Amino acid sequence: MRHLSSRNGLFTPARTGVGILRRLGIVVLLLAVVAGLRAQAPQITPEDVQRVTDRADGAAEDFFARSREIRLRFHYQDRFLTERDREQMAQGARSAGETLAQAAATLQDYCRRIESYDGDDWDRRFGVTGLWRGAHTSAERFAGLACRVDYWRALTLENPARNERLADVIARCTARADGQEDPAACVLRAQCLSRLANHPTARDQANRLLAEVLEAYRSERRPPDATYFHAAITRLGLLDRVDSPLIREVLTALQRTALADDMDILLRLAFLELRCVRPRSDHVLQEVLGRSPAAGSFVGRVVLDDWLDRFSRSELTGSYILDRTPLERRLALQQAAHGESSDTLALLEFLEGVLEPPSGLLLLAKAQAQRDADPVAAIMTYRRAAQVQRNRPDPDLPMTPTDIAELGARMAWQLYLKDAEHAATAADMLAFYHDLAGTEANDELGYAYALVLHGTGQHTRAEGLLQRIRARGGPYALAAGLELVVRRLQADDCDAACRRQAQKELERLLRQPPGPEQPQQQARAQAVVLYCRLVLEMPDRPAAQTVLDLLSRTPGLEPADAAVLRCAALRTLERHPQAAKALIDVLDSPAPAVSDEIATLLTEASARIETWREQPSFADFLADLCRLAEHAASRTQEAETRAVLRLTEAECLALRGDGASINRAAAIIEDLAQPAWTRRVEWVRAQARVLTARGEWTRAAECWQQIATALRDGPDAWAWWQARYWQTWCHAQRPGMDGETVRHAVEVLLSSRPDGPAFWKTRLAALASRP
Amino acid sequence: MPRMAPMIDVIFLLLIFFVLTARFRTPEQFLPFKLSQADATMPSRGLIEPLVVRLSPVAEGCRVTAGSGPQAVDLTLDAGAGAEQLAELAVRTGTLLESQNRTLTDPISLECDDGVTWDHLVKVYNVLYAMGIHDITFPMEL
Repeated sequence: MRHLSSRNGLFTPARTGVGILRRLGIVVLLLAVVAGLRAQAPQITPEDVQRVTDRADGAAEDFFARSREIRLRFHYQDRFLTERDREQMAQGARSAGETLAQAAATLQDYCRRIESYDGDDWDRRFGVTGLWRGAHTSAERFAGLACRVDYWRALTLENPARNERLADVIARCTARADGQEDPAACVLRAQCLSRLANHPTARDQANRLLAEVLEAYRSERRPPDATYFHAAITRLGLLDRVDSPLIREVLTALQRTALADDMDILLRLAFLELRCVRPRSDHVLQEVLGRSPAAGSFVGRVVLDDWLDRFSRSELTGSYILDRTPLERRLALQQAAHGESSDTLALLEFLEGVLEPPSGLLLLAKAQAQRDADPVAAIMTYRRAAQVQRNRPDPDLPMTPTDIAELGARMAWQLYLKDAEHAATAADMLAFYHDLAGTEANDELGYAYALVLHGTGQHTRAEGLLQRIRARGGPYALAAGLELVVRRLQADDCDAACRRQAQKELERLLRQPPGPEQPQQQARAQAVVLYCRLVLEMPDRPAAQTVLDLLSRTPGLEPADAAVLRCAALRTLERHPQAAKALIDVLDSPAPAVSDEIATLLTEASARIETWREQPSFADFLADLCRLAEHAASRTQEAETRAVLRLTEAECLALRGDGASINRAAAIIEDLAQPAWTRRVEWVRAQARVLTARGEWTRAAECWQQIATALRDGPDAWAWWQARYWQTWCHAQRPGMDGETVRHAVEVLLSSRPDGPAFWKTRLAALASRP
Repeated sequence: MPRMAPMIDVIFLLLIFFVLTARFRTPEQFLPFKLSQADATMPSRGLIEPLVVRLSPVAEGCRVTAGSGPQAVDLTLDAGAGAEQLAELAVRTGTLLESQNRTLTDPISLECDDGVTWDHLVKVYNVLYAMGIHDITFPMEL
């Protein structure tokens, strides 16, 4: 290895070719580094500019879109109508203003860095690519937008903060102008000036600026654009007194342009007219509503909010209300009549005293406001509104007396459904509606009226009404027919023949194809449920199959109802495993019918559990039964029922046969081992199942014998044979038991009781034939 | 000294009288059944279905029923329950046992309704015992 020495160092004279070359290389390298540092171009890409621009554009668009309504509402009274408006504006303007200012600063920084670069490739990098121009233009644009946003932010502040913020905006606008201020910036500056408080010449300066802007349009023959009209409207707002001709002049000019339908300008002009022209005039507002009737809702909300705000501050007077134009009052009341909020009730009661006599529209609005707080009072007010509209039709209310009464009748029906104590009120309102509507009465409300009449004990009238509805064949015909059947079934004197008749009537109703309307579908579903219940009262296999077919063909049934009926039918068909599955699906339903059906299924299934033992799904069936029993036991409040259900669960657990299940079953039995239970067949049978599962044949046989002795000569022959079979079976399993004894026992049993169930006789015969 | 001869005469007379007039009761008989020991195990107890023989009181005496079907026993024993009736009971019970494939070692449950006389029960029991049936039980309500 060769060691470097001072003789081979950099600063030693070059004596060899290699040394010369080494020195030259180092010099070239240094020169390249210096040149590179000198020519370092700013690392700004079009993507950087675009990213900043997109973010700022998004923030500006978001702000102006979100604040549009608040800004328009502001112009109605030249103030924020509600504190919520003020807060929303302050929050939005702060966020958007900061984003825009930051974007403008970033882009200005980019421009400065680009401008400070003097490399030969400047034009290639920043000139022809438009990067510098784009960044510069966007920086200016965002600075202007930030001023506009800050203007609105200033309006949310109180003085002196407001004055400071406005002065700042004016200063920024002026700084940006640089001798060539654009009209929009001028208008903004004038708006700021016009709102500066305690400034002796600010309004004059604003007026002058606006005049210059408008004059510039005229002198340069520029077509009026949105800025022009904003300038004109702002200037009119600065006048002490505005005459209608001036407003009309602006409106006429607007109508000559493509901005004739610009709602922002039109509404601003309309609000200016309402605010400044005396006597109060709504010419422009009528024009606005003519062009866009939908704007009426917005204006109504604005007027109503103004009244509510003043009312909440106890500043609303009768003269203030009467000073509003009829159109403003109508729009506000129409908005209140939409019933979107109940906080208008106190205001409407105040208006009822001011606008004497109250119009149908005012009463309708009041009724809508009362709906939640006082439904009974609301129903009465609907009735009054309908009467007023009938006696003294209000041209501002596009509803007939019947329409209003229908609203009241619907509410009365809902009230009755919620609380039957209101039957009398509901009946009165529904009767009023029916008298008013005559033959045009709505079928739904006719049906409701019939039910309410039933509720008030007027059965004859109710049945007459239901029969008429059924005969008309409308969407409530099926529901009316069903109701008639239900009433017949509920009668005290309804015997078996009456029930058969009801079943036939339901069959007839169900044969008619239902319409697509929701009431018909609903009524059909109810009719199907009732029909199935009647059919299953006399259960046989064809009836059960009919029920299953009908349930599968009927959509829209209440799941709990359908499951209970399906389960009952499946039980009749001895398809208990499927029945259990049907109930598992509605296990969480609180319907009492579900609990009852679970108890019935468990009783039947546990008594005849051996019937399904050979099926492949027997393990699943046992798991389902355990789940049903556990669930039912946890739901029931009765101690005895709970104990029986737990014993059923213990039986099923023991039949599952695994160690954990057997232990759980034993724990349940142990838990219930009290004198009241240990002598009952249910307890002994559960005990017998556990002992059988554990292979304790002698004790198990004794338990089964105990059951057989208890049930001998009883009505439940199946249970007796079950006990005798398992007793014999347990004996047969015992070590040392010879087959001959078992065979003889079976022989004696079968010949002494020849009338036993075939199922057990077959199984006993099979047991006897085992070697 | 008192005269002893008359007193001895009287005493002998009384002795002769009592000896001649006395009637001796026959000794009490016991039903020949055995209770099992407390620690006894009966592995096949209850395995074979017992034949139930029911005794019900009727105006004529006692009605004896057992089994069902054409071979069922349904006899009425009059108050005296003579040998003929008891013999018929034995024959018909034998036929019934045969029809039910029972052997004489199979159990019989003797059930008595209220009002049946002890005499009838013992006679029926004796008939069954005499037939060679020794596994006779009486149901008890605990």
